[in-house]
Amino acid sequence: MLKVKVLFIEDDPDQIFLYQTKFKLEGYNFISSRDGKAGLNLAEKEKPNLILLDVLLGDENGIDILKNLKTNEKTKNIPVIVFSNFAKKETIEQALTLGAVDYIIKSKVVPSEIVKKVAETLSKKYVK
Amino acid sequence: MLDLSIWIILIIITSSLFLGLVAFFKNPKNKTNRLFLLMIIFVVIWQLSNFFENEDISHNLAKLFLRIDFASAVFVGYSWLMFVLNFFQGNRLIVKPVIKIITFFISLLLALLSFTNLIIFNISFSNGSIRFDNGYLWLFYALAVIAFFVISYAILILNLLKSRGLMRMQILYIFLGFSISSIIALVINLFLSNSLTVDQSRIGLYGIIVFIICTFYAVIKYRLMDIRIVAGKIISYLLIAAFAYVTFYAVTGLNNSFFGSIFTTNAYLLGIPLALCFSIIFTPFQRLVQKLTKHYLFAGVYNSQETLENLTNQLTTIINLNQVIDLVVDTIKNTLYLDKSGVLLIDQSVQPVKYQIAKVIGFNRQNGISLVQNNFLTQYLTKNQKPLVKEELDFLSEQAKNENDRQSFVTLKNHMTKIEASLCLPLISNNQLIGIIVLGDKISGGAYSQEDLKLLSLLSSQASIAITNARYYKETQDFNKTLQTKVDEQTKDIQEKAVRLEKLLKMRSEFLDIASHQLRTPTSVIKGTLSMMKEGDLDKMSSKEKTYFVEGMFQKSVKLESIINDILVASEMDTADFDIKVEDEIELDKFVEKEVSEHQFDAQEKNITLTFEKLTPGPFKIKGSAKYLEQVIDNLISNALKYTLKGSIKTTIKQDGKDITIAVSDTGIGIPKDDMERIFNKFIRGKNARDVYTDGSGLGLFIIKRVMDQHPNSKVWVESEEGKGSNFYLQFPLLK
Repeated sequence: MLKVKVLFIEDDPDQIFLYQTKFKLEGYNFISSRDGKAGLNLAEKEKPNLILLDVLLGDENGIDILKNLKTNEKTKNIPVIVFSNFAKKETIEQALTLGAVDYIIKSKVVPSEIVKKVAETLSKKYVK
Repeated sequence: MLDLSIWIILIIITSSLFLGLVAFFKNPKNKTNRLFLLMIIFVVIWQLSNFFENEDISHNLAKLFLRIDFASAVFVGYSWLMFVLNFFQGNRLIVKPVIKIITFFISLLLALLSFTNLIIFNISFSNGSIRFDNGYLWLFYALAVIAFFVISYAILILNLLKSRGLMRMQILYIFLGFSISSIIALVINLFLSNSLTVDQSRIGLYGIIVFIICTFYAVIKYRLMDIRIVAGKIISYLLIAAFAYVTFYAVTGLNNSFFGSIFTTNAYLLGIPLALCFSIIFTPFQRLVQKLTKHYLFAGVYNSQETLENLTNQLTTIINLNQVIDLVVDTIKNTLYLDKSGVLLIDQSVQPVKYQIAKVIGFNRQNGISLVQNNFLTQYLTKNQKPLVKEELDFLSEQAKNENDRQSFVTLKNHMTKIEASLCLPLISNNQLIGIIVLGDKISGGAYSQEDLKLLSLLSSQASIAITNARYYKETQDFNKTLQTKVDEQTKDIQEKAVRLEKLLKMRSEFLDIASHQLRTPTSVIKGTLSMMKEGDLDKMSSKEKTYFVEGMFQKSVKLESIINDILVASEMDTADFDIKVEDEIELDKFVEKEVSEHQFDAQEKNITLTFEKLTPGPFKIKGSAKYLEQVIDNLISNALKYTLKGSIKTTIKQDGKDITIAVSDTGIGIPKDDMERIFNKFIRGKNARDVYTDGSGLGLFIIKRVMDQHPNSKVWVESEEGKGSNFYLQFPLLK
């Protein structure tokens, strides 16, 4: 069976390591990118099943990356969960309006919970 | 039947007496009027005696009348002189009473002597007229009488030249009338009587008519002795009487020619409708006559009742002070045909009393204020709340109780004359003088009559009320305006505060957004790692991975502590009134040395050389905040350690003229050129920073900058090249 591919766009390597470890332990194919532009390329190329997107990506803004993903023909159907510790209300609203499936605050969940969330989202999609 | 001459004489005498009586009864208390009547009486006596001396009566009676003629002539002269003197009373013609008494005695003497043979004697009759010869004292007599007349002419002429307007006209006519009459009378009766016939000599009598007519004209047109209205009324009565008289005789005449007599039946019957017609016509005719006399005699006389009503009505609708003043000034000016009018407003509630010209027409503005300059007028008007006429001022100054007052009255009169004001009306409200209406002369030159003054008094009381109200209203309006301005100011103030508050809140909110993110980042790693440990995932990892995991979590917890600290410090610094005390005396070299030694362990762990060097000899004393500067230097060295992977960190201190400069130079990753400008801002990290040290708060340099800003004459700056290293400098003024 083909492993579910999850793309994590995040600039903090420690964070990547944490979630990568968990997702791999749960049997996912976990790829990551440390900046937005590379992430977009990766998304186009690898066509992951789901994208976990951080907001504060150094100079780049995750929301802009989200816009990009959703207007690009090749990537607009990939479900995106915004996964960040940045909790500004306007940013959350913006992300959801732009088509993110969900906006989850990292510190509010533990790695196993995010894994579950990813599974749920994907199953919903298939059922639809 | 009496012949024509008698009728003429009768008419002359009647009209003279009429004139005299009217003048007297109009104002019995006025000396001028009394003297006028006196003079008229003597003129009448003279006329009668002059007439009868030539009539067909007994010789003795005729002689008596001649003597009476002479006697009364003297007194005519005397009383005329007295009248003239009194008319111009106050115009520097104060004649000593002694002179008046002497004059009286001369007149009395001459009058008595007329009954002797010293003045006239040898009285005879020829051609129906009486004759006489001049006695020893005839010349004396003649000179005395002529003197009386000449002196009075002189006075008249003098005053004619001096006066203006109304007075001038009055004087002119009196002068004309009397001079012509008296010259005729004098010449004919004194000098020529012996050579003329009766009828010719009676021309002297008839000459009086000239005087009567002139005086009458002066009365009507120029309000001489103010008897014009009475005179006018009498004229209209006379006209109506004439109408009745004519009608009666017309009807009687008609009746006589048609019916033979008015006592026939036909006449009675005709009389009925005629009587009805007459009664119907009479009243309109009366009104017509009154209207005509009013129009022709009193053209320009105002209806005071109407004026007052109009003004009152208008005043009740106006509340604006300026409009009220305008209305008052204009009404008075136009009703009385004045050339100048003005209103002064007085504020007695402040000290010194404040005067203000509300409106003037025709007056020079400064003149208005000069009138009230010495407060005398104000006090006077406050005490006697009635109009002050300039002409009265002489009288008032005479009556003054002390020298000061007397002088003040004279000054005031001079003042009023100078600025051409003739009347001051007080405006009284609440028993206080709130203003003065100042009026000039009438354009016609006329004097202010009693009616005028009465009207003006009423006008001014109305005006006082209206002005007081308007003033209150204005005060209220001004107060409202001030209130509104204050409210607007406050509103603006509050709005400004609200805007500032909003900005602060926004800043706060932004700060919290980022600060919360900074805190959550290490927290999520710690939490995540621990949860995985709980779930037993650690056992599924290799031992190397395990170690890495646990180490990472530990580092994050350390980081959390430092971030919390940074955030708290930055939060404190973020407010506009961040103010630290820079009062400690610090020996900088020792300070830095201490920090350097504290970081030696970390440096050695990373294999980086950390040194401290004094480039110039000390001392390096400055004034600053020990607590915060410790943090600053700590931050700089920590940063250098964080972002230097290999090489060295050199800390130096040197004295540069008046300043001390500390430098921390590393061989680290440097700062990208694009980030140099903003590197001291909140939450900003160099783009390359994360690669080397992931968890910087972005607040370190921000804190350093804020602290340095709080130290007077100090600064911080950086020189850097990406990939090569950075040099951070701190500069302080040396403490002497």
